[in-house]
Amino acid sequence: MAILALICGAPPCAAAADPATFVEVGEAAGIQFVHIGGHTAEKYMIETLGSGVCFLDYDGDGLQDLYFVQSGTVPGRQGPKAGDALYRNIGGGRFADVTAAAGIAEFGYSMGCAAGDIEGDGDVDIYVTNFGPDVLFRNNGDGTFTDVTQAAGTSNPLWSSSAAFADYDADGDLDLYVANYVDFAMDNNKMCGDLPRRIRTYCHPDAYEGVPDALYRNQGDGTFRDVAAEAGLTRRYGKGLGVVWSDLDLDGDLDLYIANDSVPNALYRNEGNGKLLDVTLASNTCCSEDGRPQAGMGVDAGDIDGDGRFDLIVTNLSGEPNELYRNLGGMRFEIISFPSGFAAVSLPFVGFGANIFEFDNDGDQDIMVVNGHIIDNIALLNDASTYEQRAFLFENLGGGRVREVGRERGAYFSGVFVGRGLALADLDLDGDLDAAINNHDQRARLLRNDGGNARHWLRLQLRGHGAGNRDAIGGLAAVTAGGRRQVDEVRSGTSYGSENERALHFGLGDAGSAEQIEIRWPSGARTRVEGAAADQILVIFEP
Amino acid sequence: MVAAAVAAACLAVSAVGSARAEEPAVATPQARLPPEAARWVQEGIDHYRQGRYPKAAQAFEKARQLAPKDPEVSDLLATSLLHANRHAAARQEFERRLGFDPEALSPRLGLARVAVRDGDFELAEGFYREVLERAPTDLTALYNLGWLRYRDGAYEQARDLLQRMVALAPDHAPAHYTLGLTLDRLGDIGAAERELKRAVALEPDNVRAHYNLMNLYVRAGRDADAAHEREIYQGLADRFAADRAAEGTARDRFLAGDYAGALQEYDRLLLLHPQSGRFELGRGLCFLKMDRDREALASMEKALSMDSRLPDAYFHLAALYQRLGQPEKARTARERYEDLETIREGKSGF
Repeated sequence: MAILALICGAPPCAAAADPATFVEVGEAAGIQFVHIGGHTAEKYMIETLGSGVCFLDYDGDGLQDLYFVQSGTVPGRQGPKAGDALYRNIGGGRFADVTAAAGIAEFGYSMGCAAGDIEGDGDVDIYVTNFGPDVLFRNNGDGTFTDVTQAAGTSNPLWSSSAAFADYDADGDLDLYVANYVDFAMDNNKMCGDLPRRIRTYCHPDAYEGVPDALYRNQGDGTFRDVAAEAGLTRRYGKGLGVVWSDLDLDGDLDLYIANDSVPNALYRNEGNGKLLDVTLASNTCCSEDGRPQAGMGVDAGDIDGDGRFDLIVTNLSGEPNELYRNLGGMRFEIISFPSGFAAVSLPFVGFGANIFEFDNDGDQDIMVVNGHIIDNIALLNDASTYEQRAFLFENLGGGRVREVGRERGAYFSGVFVGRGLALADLDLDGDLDAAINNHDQRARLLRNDGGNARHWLRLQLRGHGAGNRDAIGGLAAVTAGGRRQVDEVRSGTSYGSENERALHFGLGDAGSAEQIEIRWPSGARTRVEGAAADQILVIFEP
Repeated sequence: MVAAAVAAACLAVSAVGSARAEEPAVATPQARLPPEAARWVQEGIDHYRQGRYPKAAQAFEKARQLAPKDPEVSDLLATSLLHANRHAAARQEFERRLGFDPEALSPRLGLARVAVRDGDFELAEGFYREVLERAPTDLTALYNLGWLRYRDGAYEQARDLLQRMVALAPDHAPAHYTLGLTLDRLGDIGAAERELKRAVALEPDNVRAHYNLMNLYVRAGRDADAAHEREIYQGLADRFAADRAAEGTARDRFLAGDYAGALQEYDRLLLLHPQSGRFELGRGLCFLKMDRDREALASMEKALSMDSRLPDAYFHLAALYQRLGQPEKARTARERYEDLETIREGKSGF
């Protein structure tokens, strides 16, 4: 076992006098990215979704860089040529646009991104989901990328949204799940709206058929093969928008949950033999409490109630509650959306990106959700709705309850935006988690967490052995501090079209150290660390 | 996503409001009002009954200016505003009514409805409690407060309220359903099962009751019962999805110019849902495209007899009457169309 205390963060304040507050610092940090939705009078459905954002350390310097996904001008139209953007974290809270220098030239009408080291060569590669063929950028290890889509066999011509890496078959390398949406095409754009009144709106997903998702198995030679059908993903096609891999039954392999739009969500239990078994209905995670499919958008997993099992959240459309599925064990879930305090406030909002995370280091998992309607002229149709909407920050109150506190925690949460992608990382390495947001047709935002580090924290960077899965995606960590045990796992994907940093962040509250750290590696190996000082990043290597 | 929002919103409203008719009893206060105000009230009621809520609100607003402290005019105005999705204005009017009629129940119920739509359940509960303090057997307040207490996880309180509710209204399926959920959360599985089954007995196609019966049986390890309920749930869910898909197929065929094929789809849908004005309108549009004007006219008129809130039907009806040499009827239909200002959030398909 090897452990490296990599960086010691700033010492926490003696007392948690000021609560954690999020301060918008995007422009000051050098983030100039503006998302372009390319809205047209024809109301092409692709214009509604918007794009994600990924944190990744592409140059391996220990600082989290940013990849912003761009939509741009819709295919076949004239307009500004806008592409995805890669920003290098140059320290001191500053970013530099290195898109061109890195060889990133992605001008597709893009939706989301995922990051993973597909070859196990020690640097992180990028997958971009598109309306049209997706793109896989291999990291050359020298600060540049090469488009290897064709050679890798991951072009996926369907309209894809979110993607997530995981070693689902436990063969030591990273596979990739890509959620695909509907069979919309530019030449089958349907007329939707109230045409006699000459008000055209975007079509409901019912207007189009769902298309199958893709499960790309890494063949270990730089190529992938879609094994969705042979893995058992045979249920009727969803209209996928969010995806997360998580060990929901704590049996050592990663299960798969997909948020679908207007059709039931899907939960697949990993059978451990390369097969995924559909357990959606029996698990009580398909729908609302009333058994009705909803418009699932963003998704994440995390232990909200502190019982050591990963719960699920899904963001939905206005008029539908955002859902919190409490994990009861044995692949059974209880819907606690309303009693938890997560749902009621969400009813007038359209939720997209969502993450379960620790923002105030008090030792429990909080939630951030970004909102924004999908119909830009919604005010013409319903003056109780708005296109731009405020974002949410939920503080965990304990006992499976949360409270929306956004407006108490930063001016950003009082403003209104068209929220889509949301990703989290400690971008300034000060011991609390910051956020990046890709707003539709708006400037990207960077929310710096100020004061979240007033309490103690501990960050774990897991390093898997062998050639594949170096970031130990699927690795599970349990940290016991101050008598409280917390669990988290390394995940790819989550939220909407977005990706968080790989490090696991634990708030320790008043505890100056962790009594114990337990790691369960994707390989099944275990590591135990007794006694670790707080307020540091520990890099833990798989034995 | 849009239609889902509408469906969900309707679901929430019906769940909350179903203990009492969703529409207010349209009072006729004209007799005691000044003639001008009475005229506006009558016009507003006409609009309201046709689902033209913004127009109704405009008429009631004029009546209110002439009779500012008439409680029923105020109720009508506020309710029309709420239906027109003008929450802030509705809230303001309900509050104004309470200002001159502080013991009134209806504005409290209205304010609660606005609060629920805005996701402020705590505020809504407060209004329902105020109603129950004044009228302990008010079914709307009893059911909705029970529903909200359940939503908040206060299961014992929810149970007590809902048990009072079903004692007063034993055939109220949503109350039995919500009581079933509540008892399930309290661990009283047998009683929960009875209530959910009662909801199913009252409404055999109650998909949500079947879904929760399935869940209850899964947890109880009653595999055969769970499989049975799953089959029913899946069947109902598939049927609803098939209907939606079929409508999509009809629309696709229509847009592709295959009007005969679209007509066949609408005929099939009408066999399943013979009272659907929307599907009948679809037939009418097909006839229209096939130059079968008489049949189109009959379908449009039939559609409006089933559902008078179809602006598209009035729009095409006006053109048909004009073509068929009936200008007066064309003018009336055109006016009806223009009056229907409530724009549906969702796809029209055409």
